[in-house]
Amino acid sequence: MKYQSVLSMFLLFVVIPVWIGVIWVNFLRIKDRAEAFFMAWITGIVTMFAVGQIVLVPLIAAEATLTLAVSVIKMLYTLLAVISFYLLLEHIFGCSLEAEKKQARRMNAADEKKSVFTAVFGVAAAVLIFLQAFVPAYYQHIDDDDSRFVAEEVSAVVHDTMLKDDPISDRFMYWDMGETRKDLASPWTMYVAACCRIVNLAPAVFSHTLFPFFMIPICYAVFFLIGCILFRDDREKVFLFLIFLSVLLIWDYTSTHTSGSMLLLRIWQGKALVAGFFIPVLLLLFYRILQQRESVREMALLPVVSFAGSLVSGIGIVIVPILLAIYGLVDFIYYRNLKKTLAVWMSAAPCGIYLVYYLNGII
Amino acid sequence: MLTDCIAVWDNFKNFIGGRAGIFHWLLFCAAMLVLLFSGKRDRKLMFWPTVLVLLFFFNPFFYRFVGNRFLSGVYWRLMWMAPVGVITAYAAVRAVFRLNRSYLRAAAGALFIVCVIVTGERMYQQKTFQKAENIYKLPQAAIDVSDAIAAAGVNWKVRSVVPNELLCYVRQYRCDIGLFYGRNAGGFISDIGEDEKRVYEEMCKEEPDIETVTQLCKKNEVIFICFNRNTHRIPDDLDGYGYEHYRDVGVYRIFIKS
Repeated sequence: MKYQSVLSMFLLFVVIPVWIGVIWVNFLRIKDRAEAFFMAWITGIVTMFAVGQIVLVPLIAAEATLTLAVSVIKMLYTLLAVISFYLLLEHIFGCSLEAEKKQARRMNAADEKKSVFTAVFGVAAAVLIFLQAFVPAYYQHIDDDDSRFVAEEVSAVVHDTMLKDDPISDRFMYWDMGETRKDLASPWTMYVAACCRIVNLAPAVFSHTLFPFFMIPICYAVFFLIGCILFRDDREKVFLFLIFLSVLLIWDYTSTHTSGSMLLLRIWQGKALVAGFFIPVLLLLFYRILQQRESVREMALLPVVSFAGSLVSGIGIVIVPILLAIYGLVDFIYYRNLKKTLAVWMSAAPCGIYLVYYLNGII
Repeated sequence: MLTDCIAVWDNFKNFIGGRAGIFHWLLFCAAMLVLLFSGKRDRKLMFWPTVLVLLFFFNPFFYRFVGNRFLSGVYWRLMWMAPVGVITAYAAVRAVFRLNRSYLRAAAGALFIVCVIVTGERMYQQKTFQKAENIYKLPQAAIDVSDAIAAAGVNWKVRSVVPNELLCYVRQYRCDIGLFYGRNAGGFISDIGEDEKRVYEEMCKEEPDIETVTQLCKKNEVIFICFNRNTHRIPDDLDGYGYEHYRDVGVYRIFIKS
């Protein structure tokens, strides 16, 4: 494997998401450094997926080439990165030195409270997460579902088409034919093909080796932030929570359908991303939203998650609105704030549009 | 109604993996009880939303009108919405930190981990992860056979029949080899035609009917036919059937249309 491709993967799945996510961190006004970094990483990835969905669906319907899709996606990522850079400059030059010093003093005071157990649990959690990312990257797990997903990606990369070749016979077909018809509403395979073009890797290598190595830690970053909310930033408890969660997931192979199996065995497939990444992301956002009576800034992320969840799988199109409905209802029961509840429910609108097409495709 | 209830229960059993998953679910139920009595915030954030998710899933009406119609065969995926791992781990940490002394905490934490390990099924085992055979992480035989077929330089898109164990992998490696049938033979991806079905049935046999296979392959413009010499009993050459020996790759014998 070329080192250039590995470096490109690092840029595409760490540097660029964090860079783009700074826009959201700035918007959500997150101060804690670790939280800000992980939130930027997660929101950046979600935003990149959402951009992929917004670009790919119309381009596939218009029978455009993969090259065009890659160019548009790259342009939009660049635009988001420029906006983020502007906000960063504004933050650096707009913040007074005294305020920075005060914040640093507060941070140091918080650091001093950390016990030796915090460090021990932190290191143990990091090692466990690294091992979970390393195993699928180093060893081989074969899943027959890839015969459709990876085959579609290979066809797209080589033929420069999008969902136009039958994944089995390679015969020309229209995107509105066969099982792949429903892929128009959730074109994860085409997004992967676009990424493969960007990082110059074969889809099988991208999916089976490098993607899990980057994606599994991102999923755990979501769990870290969930822990920070649940334990009110008590890092000792948060790290122990991550250790317990890791153990639960590693010993969760009671069937191939469990969330643990999806996350650790085949995270490169869209449906596994729904189970391992999008549902925890929605939990994270709901936990933040449910703590406040009034509408909060996190709600602006819900439609973005809606778009991004639609990209990865048809089950994302179904599950995201159901979760929005459930948590909107819980919020209404607790706060009786109809405006806020309606705003949560309305966030499902992107999924609703794709859902109509998706259900039409499978009936 | 009873049928729907049974179907929902079957989906649940399918999801947790039957008896193997029961203990983790008992831990989860215990964690839910802890949440119920551990304060308003926990109930608001985790308990009630999870109860609603479970009511949604175990609702026979929802299954009848939505699940059975739109999520047939994959209804169990809705169980992902229940944050089983998060809630169990959270409750375990809460329980551990209820203890005052650090040695008691360590013992309780270790006990929880041992319980999970003893009663669960490990993700990393021989049947789930093997040593990578190549950079693509696909069976090496599929790559060798694909390269051999492509090396013939017959056409941009050649149609081939390959043994069942290679069906899912050839096109993950190369897209210039079209398959006569693939995973659709097992009922996935798209419908399978009558000719494809007959060839597939013959390829499943130890001694395939060469006459039938070659006739149908010729009719459908299949250029390559590949057999596994270990599992298929086939003649040394198929010259009389319109195909000639092209190459042997390991245990695989490839024939090309004459």
